[in-house]
Amino acid sequence: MSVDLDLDPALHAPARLQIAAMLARANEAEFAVIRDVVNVSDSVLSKHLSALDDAGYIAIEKVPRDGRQRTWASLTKEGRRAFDRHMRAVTALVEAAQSAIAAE
Amino acid sequence: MTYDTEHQAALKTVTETNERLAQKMHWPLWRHAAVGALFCVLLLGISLPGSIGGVINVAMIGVVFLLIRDDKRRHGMWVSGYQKGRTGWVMAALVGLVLACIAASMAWIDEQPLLCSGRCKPCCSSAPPASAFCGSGYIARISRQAGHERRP
Repeated sequence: MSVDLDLDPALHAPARLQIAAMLARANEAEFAVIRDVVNVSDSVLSKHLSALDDAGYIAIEKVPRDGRQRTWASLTKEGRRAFDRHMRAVTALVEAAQSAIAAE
Repeated sequence: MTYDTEHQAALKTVTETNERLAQKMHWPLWRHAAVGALFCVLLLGISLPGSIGGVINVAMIGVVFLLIRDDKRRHGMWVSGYQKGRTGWVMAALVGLVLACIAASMAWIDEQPLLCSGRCKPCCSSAPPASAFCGSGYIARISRQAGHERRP
């Protein structure tokens, strides 16, 4: 099935898919807000953000505020394309499976 | 069929993320009013003669950056409002309306240099900020709804 080829291994982990989904709606988000929405620990979020950064899907920026470094993340154009492609592939796979079940 | 269940779970995860994000996306009324005021200042800047218009537009760009900074500080995120789908159409209609009003205002400038001095100018001047206010609120609302409506 061709949609299989569009499934992105970098977005396969649920937490990474959630981060991409969130950043697809909000242009930029702070680490604490992402952590609250994705509902993971700081260390887990750091790991997933690094993985997405390494894949070139997000841009990470450190901004000093109130004497502390705040981490901000945004989806890159490549990341947005990859997320759209991945979601199309996942949706197509689910629809194909539902059609197959209905045909039985 | 674990393979399909896995992908269904992925879609469900994205939907739940959108719903949690939607709960955080609540901007106060003054924020929408500020966007409307920005459009008003934009039209004012274009309508006024000489370099005053340029100064006003530069000031408006500064206010845009202040709004972005306030959003980031207050909400921990910045949402431009542009999304594919309905929000995109609303934005396009809003920009079209503002451009039409700007063109109409510029056409009247030759006749009467001061803003709102013509009979039709008040309508022309009030349409962009009013539509921007409504548009900003509407875009925020459908952005929040989008998370709830996107079902697998």
